[in-house]
Amino acid sequence: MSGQKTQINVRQAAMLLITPVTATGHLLFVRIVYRYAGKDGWISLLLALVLGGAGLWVMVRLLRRHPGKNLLQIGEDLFGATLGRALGLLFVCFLLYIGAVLLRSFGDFMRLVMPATPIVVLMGVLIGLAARTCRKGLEVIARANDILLPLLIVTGATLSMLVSKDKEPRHLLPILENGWRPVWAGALSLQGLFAETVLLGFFGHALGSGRRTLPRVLWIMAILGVMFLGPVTGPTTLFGPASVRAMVYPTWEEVKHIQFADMIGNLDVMGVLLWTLGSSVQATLLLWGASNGTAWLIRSGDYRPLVTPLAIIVLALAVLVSDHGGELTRFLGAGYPLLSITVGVLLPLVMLVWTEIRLLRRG
Amino acid sequence: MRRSLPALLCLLLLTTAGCWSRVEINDLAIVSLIGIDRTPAGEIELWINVVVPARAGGSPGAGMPAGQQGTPFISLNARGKTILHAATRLQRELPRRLFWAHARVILLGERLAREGSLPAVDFLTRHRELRLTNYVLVVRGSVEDVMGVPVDLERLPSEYLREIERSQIVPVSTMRDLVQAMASAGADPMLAVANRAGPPEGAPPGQRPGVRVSGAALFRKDKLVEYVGEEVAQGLLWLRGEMRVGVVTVTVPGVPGNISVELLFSHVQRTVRLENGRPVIYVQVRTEGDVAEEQAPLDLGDTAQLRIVERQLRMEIRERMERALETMQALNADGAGLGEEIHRHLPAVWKRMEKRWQSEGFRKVKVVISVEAHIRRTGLSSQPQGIPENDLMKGRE
Repeated sequence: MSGQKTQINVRQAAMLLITPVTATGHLLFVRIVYRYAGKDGWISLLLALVLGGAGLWVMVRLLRRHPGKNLLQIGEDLFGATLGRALGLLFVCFLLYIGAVLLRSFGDFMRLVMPATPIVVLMGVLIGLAARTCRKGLEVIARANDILLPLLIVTGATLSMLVSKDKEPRHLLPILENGWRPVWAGALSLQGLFAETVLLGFFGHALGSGRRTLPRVLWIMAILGVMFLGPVTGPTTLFGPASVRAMVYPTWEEVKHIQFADMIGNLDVMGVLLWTLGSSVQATLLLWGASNGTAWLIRSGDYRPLVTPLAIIVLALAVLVSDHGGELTRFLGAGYPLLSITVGVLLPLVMLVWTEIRLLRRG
Repeated sequence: MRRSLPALLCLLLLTTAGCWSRVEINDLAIVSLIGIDRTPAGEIELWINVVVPARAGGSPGAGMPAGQQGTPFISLNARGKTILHAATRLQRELPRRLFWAHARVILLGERLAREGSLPAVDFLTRHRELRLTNYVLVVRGSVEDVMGVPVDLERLPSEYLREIERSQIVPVSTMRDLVQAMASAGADPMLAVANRAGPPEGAPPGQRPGVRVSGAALFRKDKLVEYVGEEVAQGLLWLRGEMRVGVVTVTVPGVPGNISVELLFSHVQRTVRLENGRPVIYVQVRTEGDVAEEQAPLDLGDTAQLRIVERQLRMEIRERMERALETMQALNADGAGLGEEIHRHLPAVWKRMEKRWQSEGFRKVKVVISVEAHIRRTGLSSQPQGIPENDLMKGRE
């Protein structure tokens, strides 16, 4: 893309999708699931995995139909230059917007840990790091992620194991106490985080190559499912369904709760580490997607000069995006799913259907 | 320039560690114990024990320069509208910033607990440095009674209380348990109780008073209702399914002397069944233990005689549980979370009775307790040493 051809393989592409989904999911969406579905959050997760899997399948399929092209190129191929570009602009704006929301949430969280540090500084450090990595190119991001993601998984799993002795699974009963409605509401809001499959449209050619689509999609969804099962059940089994509802960071409370063998404890900082690492990879990717998209839209051969200005835009948006933490949570639970399903699932679906129709016409 | 940039950045790292929020450890006043009470006038009274690091190391008194001796903590208190309000007043008197992350134990004063402990709970769950693993105890009397009392063996009262809680021989209650029980419709909190114990009668002058943890405090939602003694508290632990280890002493009718059984394993299963349209809660206890002391002349190597002790053990445990249940129902305080059990097993039934649970449902609910107790070993003796063979009781039953 944009001048030089980037080379990442199937595994790296899949891992690059898993990190950001996990990062935003744990930081932002877990509490929303609890708000809606409470102790049935794990059922919401299963439903959301099916929805997200469908979205992912659509995206990979679309990439396969248009080998070597990114989402914006495909858009212009399908709908012509004007409409295609408008669509491309929408995708780019969407990426910038998620970037801002993520950055703000990260800032709000870090503000809790370091109350004296201005939020602009906290967010600026992250987006600055992201911008620097981003200019190095996708291969570098992918290789960094190759190191970071296993680290995140191992650390997360270890923390989860350390706290598991205090968990009481009986808190998950009764199942579906309030019927399916809240569970679906939880699922729809959780599905919002899979909207990041749009990112695949920018770097996922590798996933679209080769033969099998479905097994790859299933693999990715299975891994994501495992990574989310802990967060959507752990706090309930640890603190009871009634008190989790009031928590802003249920999973962090879980990490704070670790007391093991009178020796290992006060691991709050590990939670901070996980979210910082995850968020930094995600911010980098979003910035990479947005700058490459913009480069394509203005027909520039090089995306790198665009990275810094876009990073500044994301930072400014992050400052403006919400007034207080509760507002952001409310929006992510109520308005955001509409946006994310439209951009993340429906638009790619329309593009795929249009592609198939065209193929049929040509015979 | 290009080459020196990374080096410059690395140097920058040294100066920016922690940004604005960095705090040096010698600028912190480490809070080890928090006590919260209410004054008769209705204000919040906050007590804290702050660690004095200079006195905390080494054995107390030994080889320390004069002026540094004394307790390794100081007790401070202040009043205010909220806890933070009081803490801010305390902060004005302290040259170091209050640091709450190492607090391990929280004491609730009796007056606060009786009038409602919600005001204390919010601060303790909202503050980012505090954690839900902290132990919570009710102080019988005023918080002051326990805060400043030097304890033996441990350096800090908080450490003393924490170790006792950890030993699991008294009710274990953390912030998590308190909040969970307060927030759920079918459970009420139960906390451990600490009080000041004066020096024993006739003790030589100069012996210090101590702190004792005993019994339990039963709450109805956020309000303390009543204290219960050791045995009821133990019965409650059985009902809650939290009894793990402990000693139960029994007597056999017609046989003089006590027998103590050390329980090494306990499992409590709670189920709910619908009978004639009403939920009935079944609490099944299965426990195993060793005879650890026998003052009665029984030959426990003999299966028949061992069975008799087992039966007494069973009855004793059941009696304690039933007494605890009666106490709870009489006080209308569901310290065992029996309502939640109905909620979990029969959600539809619970929906109907949830509203009336606190007013009358809990008082009327039927609970069936059954106990299965096994004695597996008798220590190093099968019969008491020092009793001539002929004096042992034989062939009963």
